[in-house]
Amino acid sequence: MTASATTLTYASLDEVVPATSSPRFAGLLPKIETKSSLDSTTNQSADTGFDHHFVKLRSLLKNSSLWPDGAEAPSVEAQQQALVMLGQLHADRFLPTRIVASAEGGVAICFSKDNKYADIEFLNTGEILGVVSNRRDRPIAWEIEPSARDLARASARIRKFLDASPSP
Amino acid sequence: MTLHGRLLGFASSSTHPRPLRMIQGNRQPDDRFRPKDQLYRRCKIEEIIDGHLTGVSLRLDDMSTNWSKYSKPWDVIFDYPGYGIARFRVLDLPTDLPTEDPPGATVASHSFRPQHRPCQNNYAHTEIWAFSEGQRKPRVNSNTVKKEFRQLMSDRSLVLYLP
Repeated sequence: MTASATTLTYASLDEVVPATSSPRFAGLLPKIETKSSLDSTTNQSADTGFDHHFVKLRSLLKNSSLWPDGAEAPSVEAQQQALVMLGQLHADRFLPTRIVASAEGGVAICFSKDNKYADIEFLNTGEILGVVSNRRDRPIAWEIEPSARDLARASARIRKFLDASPSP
Repeated sequence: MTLHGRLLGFASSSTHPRPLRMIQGNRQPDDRFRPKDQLYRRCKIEEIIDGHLTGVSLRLDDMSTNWSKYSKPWDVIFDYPGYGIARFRVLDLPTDLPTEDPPGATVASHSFRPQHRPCQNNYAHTEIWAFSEGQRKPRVNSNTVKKEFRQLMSDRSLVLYLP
């Protein structure tokens, strides 16, 4: 087969999500083809821009140089939630700008476009917070439920915000 | 460029003595902040997007900065080579968060003020404290307040020197 636009080349999901994954996320983990499913004759990859985000997400747990000073390490649970969100974004073909560790402990997925900014933060406490800002007016923050439906809504909300024409 | 040159000159205590202005000595705390005073903070390249510190790189509780009244911007990276410098202004600190109550909840208004907290080797050290209903709140419980505060500070931040 030829690689489709939805095929990723990043390392196996098993490497991203430890075997001890909470069953809480079992139904939410993204169904994404892994490297072994790519065309071995052409070695063709289909990097849609997400590969390095998955790699970064994996490295955030262990690489303390990526954490803000004084921050606690991101938890496996926060990483798993971020992985679910990344799967949602991949399904939506909505590429984030950066994935980082949070100063409050956790993982954040950041977006920016035309001087507008948004992020979704997966805290070690299990809370998920979203924010959008045009850098001029007050930002809008909201809480996100750890459900596939709410994560999809958050993706759509942020995309709509970033794609909207700038206000005069 | 002048700033860059000075930064290179004050990179580390292994090569340069700590500037005298950083030593507290017998000096007491001073809480006479002016709105245009600046608050400096060191940062990593990872923490900057579009020339702003990211909100997710900021921790609300007792956020640590250096007060411009008693320091130079590059004091925050003394002994932290490879870091950058960002700044806020005192007038940027929000006084009425959250903007709106979250659905189904009522949250008391929070304000934020600088508090001079000198350290022996860093007299300019200043924390940003949260207040609500006339009391200091060492811990802010409202997720909406925390998230709005961090994003507002991000929006109002300016990176003076890239890591």
